[in-house]
Amino acid sequence: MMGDKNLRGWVVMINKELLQISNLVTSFRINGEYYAAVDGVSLSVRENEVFAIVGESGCGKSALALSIMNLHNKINTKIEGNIYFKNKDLLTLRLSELNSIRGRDIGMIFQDPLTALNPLMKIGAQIEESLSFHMSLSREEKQDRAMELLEGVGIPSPALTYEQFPHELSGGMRQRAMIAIALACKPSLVIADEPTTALDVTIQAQILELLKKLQKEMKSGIILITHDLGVVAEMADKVAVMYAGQIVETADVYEIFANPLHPYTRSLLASVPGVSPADSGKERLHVIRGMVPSLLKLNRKGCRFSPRIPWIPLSFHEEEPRYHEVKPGHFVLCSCYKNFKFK
Amino acid sequence: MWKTIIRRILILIPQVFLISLLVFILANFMPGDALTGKIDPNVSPARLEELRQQWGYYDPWYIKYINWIKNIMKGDLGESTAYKLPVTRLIGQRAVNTFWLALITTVLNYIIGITLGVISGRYHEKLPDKIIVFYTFFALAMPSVVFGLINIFVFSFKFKWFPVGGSVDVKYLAGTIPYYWDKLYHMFLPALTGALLYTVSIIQYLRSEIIDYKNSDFVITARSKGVPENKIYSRHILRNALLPVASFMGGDIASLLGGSIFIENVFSYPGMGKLFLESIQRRDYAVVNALIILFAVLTVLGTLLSDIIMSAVDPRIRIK
Repeated sequence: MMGDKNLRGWVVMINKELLQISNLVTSFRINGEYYAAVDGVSLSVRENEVFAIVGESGCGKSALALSIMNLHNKINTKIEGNIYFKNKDLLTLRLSELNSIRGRDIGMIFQDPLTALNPLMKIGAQIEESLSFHMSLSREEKQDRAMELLEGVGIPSPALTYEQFPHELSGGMRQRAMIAIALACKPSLVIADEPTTALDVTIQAQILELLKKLQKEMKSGIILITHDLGVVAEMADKVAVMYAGQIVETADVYEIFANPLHPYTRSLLASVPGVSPADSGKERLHVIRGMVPSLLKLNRKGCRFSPRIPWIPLSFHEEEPRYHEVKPGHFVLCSCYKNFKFK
Repeated sequence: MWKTIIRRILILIPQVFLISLLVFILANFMPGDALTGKIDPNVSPARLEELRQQWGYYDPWYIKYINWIKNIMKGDLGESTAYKLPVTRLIGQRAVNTFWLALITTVLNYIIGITLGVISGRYHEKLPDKIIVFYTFFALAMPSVVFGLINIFVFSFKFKWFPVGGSVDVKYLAGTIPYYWDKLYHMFLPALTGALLYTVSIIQYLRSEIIDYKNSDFVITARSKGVPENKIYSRHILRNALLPVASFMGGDIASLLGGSIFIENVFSYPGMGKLFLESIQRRDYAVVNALIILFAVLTVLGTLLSDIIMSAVDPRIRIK
């Protein structure tokens, strides 16, 4: 019955808030000055919910993902705002307190499974490492749990893979091992930072299938970071669209695809073949003009998307863009959505 | 793996043959011979001429070379004209001294290098790192001869903590425990001097590797698992950062075993490096040639050792 739209909406409603981010600003120091890569992001993720964050490369998705567990290089990063997880503000915790949450309550899956695994450590040892810091298990219990996890993520011969090094596995197998590491302690929140970007298409589908299956089993919340709208349509319950460090639109997944409002969301959907119904008759795909501005050149006043839709007069944008709640749970930044038309 | 080792050792034969040929020819081009320096008035020039004839000085180089090789095959590397000793025995004595000096230098080298490298990399751009980086530049710019002399002046001459030179005091009987302690005591300052200078490359490599790995993907993965920072360093960063250092290890050990010419000369330590320089000055060809061949063999064995070390520490490298 999980596929049923209404029932599923109801399940989401009774679930508790798991993670609440409010007004998060993550800035990087470049040439002595701080530039915000994540600029005032607020969102909340509930239990048993897949929350997708979509956007182009360089829009701040990964910076946001790393901020949640404070994994940025401390020397050149400043993180401000609040990140509440189970009534604790993760940004105020000491490192030892944070370490007890990392891996145990929040697991993270990274983009490139080759570089994200230690080349000198056996897969089994890398899974057990997470177990040994969070659970008091005997050596045999740890090994059993690692084997169980490897089997759970669909690795055909767990006993063999347990003894293998990352370079001996294919990309898909490595990402499965990565997922096993992230899920080792059954975390209630999983952050998946572009988990399928480095994989080829058939493997992508398998990995997504696996993530979905595991999420249903464990009932954990997932923050899924991706630039692939196909992945969003398949996986997500709620979607936030990010542009230049801000969330420009957020709604549940049906609403986003049925009724996209912000010019950026609409442009993104229009640039995907066969996703937007309005676009299906067209021969050529929509191309969003220009690029995401670099951190140093970004104009932080007004609507940040305005330079990429220059045919929309500036008077249609707000000087200080606010969120407009168009329907319950559907928020859009800046008023320019009201008068937006494709050229 | 054994196949590779045997194959490498077999390749050694033609390599050493070529080196020996080259060395022998070059030695023959050098002006003068072992008798040039003899200005003993009791020996007439006619007698010297006679000796030259007798020792085969006027033979063409290839005849000399063939004779030399023939003797080597019999295990006879010739006789040192300066020491009037068989070369094998002479080198044998010196090699023991050099071996122990090399061992202690290597141990100190890696202890100092790894400690300072880790501190410097971990506390990148903080005070300890700045001090260590300053030290590496200082040591890199410092000639070993000058540094050796400074150490002798300060620690041996002023403070009298260490002996000025030599390998053992004559008052001790060979083979007794105080004799070996005294050898160690004599070795310490030259070994430390060498280590403090050679360790710079270890520090620099380790430091830059650690800085690179600090925020690499797999280290972030480890942090996301909740691994405490100390364990991040010992398990994840250090092991990976030590790989390039390990790859130089074989070569470093081999070159130290060949004897350090400068350190041994400054500390008048009777090892192979000192013997080498003396032999060249005295045109003691039998010794020079034998030593060069030995250095060549050590170098090849050193690279082999490096490969074996690398395959032991890095699972991605397996020699078949």
